[in-house]
Amino acid sequence: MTATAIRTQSLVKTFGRFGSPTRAVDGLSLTVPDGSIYGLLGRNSAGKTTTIRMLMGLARPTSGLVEVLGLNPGYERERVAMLRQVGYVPEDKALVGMTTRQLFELNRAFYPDTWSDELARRAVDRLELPLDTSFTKLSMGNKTKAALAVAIAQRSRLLILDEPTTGLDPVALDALLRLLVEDCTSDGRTIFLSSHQLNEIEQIADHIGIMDRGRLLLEGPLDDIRAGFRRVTVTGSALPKSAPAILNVRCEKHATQYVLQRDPEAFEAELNRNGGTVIDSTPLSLHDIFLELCRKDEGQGDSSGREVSE
Amino acid sequence: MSALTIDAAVFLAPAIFWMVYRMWLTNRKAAQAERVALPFDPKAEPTANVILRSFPLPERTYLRQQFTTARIGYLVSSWFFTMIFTIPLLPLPSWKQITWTDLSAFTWFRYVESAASGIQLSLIFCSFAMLAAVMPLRQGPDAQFYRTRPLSMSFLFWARVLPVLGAIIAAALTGAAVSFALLVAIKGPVWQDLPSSFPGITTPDDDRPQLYGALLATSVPRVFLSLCTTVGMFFSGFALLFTIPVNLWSFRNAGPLRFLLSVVAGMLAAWTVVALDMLEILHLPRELFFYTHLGPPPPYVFMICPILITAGLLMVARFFTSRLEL
Repeated sequence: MTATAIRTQSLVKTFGRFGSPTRAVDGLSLTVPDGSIYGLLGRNSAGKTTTIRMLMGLARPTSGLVEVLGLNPGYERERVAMLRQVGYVPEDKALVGMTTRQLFELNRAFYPDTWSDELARRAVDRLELPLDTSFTKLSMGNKTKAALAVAIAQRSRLLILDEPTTGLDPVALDALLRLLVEDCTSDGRTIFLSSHQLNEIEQIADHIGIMDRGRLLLEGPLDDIRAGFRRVTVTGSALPKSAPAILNVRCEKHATQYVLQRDPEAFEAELNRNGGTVIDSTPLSLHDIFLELCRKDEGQGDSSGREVSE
Repeated sequence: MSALTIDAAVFLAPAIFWMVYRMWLTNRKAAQAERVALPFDPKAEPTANVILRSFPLPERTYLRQQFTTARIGYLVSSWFFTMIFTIPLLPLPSWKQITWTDLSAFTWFRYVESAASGIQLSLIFCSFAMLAAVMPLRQGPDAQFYRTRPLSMSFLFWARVLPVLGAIIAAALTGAAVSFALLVAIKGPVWQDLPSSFPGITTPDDDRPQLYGALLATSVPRVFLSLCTTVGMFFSGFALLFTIPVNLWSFRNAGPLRFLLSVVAGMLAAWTVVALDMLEILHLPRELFFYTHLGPPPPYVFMICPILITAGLLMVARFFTSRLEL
């Protein structure tokens, strides 16, 4: 067993060789622990899908290292060995022209060692999937459900889901999240999912990574991240404008508002010692953390004038 | 001469019937699917034949799927080749044959000439077939699905290309056999007892006596063999063209461009073969076993050249396939 399910180091993917090449992924170093539910968050064009394509061996990195279950998808033999242990749901769920039943039967043959008919039936039942309707006639939500159910029934060691909740109604979404948590992680399997739907990720993920403009802005256990981030409103004079703990500072009429990204207690104690008065200190939701990080990165990105696309 | 004749409807009727039947079958399945909701109860794997038995289950499953596609491709291609080889057996207006005094010789001339020039339509058809074989490896939902199953790119490439190539060559030979059988059934053994000189009225600038002389020197088996080797060679050339790892194909709605390109590629290939053969440039036609006109055939030994080129081009296309990104 590897300690990490996915590892990338200084991963770069550039598109376009001539003129002005764009860096879709820019020095990404990810670590997804084995047995975790890892949510990769990012805005549109953050580089999530490109990263996932490199993980699956569908795109070649311009530079850097990729390891999935200890195997390098850049080498054909290792890629095939890796694919035996990975379930994948792409962003585009338009699947091959067949019915869901045919898709289940086809996929079952590709994973003879791990496939579970019982889990397939449970997924069909819980997601209320129509089995015999052609894919061309299925709604977007049902296509998504079919793609997910097929990947879940594989019982792979690692599930890689790119925007897995596209088109799902709240009931289907709830059923899916329960399936993922109850049936997929109970025996130590890893789920890596990308999304910009923060609420969904927050419900099930235990680790998150936040990406923007091809770079990883933050990564770690969700609880640690939540504990580290805090919005603190302070009054006083000679307040610091920058420190390693400060992510953003907003000066208002009578007070200064800090968004802290680590050790908020230590920072507040330091402020108190220097004559500042903390009038409010509130933890940040994942939504707020995401926004603050993206705002900060946007400011830095704009100043450097970099172009990034997915 | 037999009194039997065939009509263009012989070719069109089965095609129309098949299309209507497929539509009816699809609609019936869809209607049934909405009425009955059966639980997921997977079928047992069908018994594997000798070829499939040596592959593990994932590869076997994919190959089985490709063989089914190739069987359908074989039927469609056989229909196509039979049609192009049998066109000369369709009735002609009487004024077109009036200058030939021997109708058997005229029929044989039309049949052999049509078979030799059949390469032009065949190459356009080949270009479409290769596009259909290779494109699902480089983009679209099929590429996304199968390239993320535990199958190597090398296996995916060969499993898609070789059955299609085999189906097309088998279909060309089937077309040749069926057309020949129809020729015998409808017109009789017209190649026997051919006159030694042009059987008809000629004018001073008429080239038909020379053409007739060429007909007498023509080897019909080699015309069909040449068709197969040339089709194979250009098929692999199209494989190379359609696997070049450039992003020309990757934008949305590239379908019309791909269609246009395959038509152009097929036509260019056809013109190249005909031009090389007609102009006899650098003796290439002989060495490449091209045989698109009436006359003395290239030696059998030169069949090896297109076969080697086919293998070489397919190897390069296979290498390119591993460089394709989604």
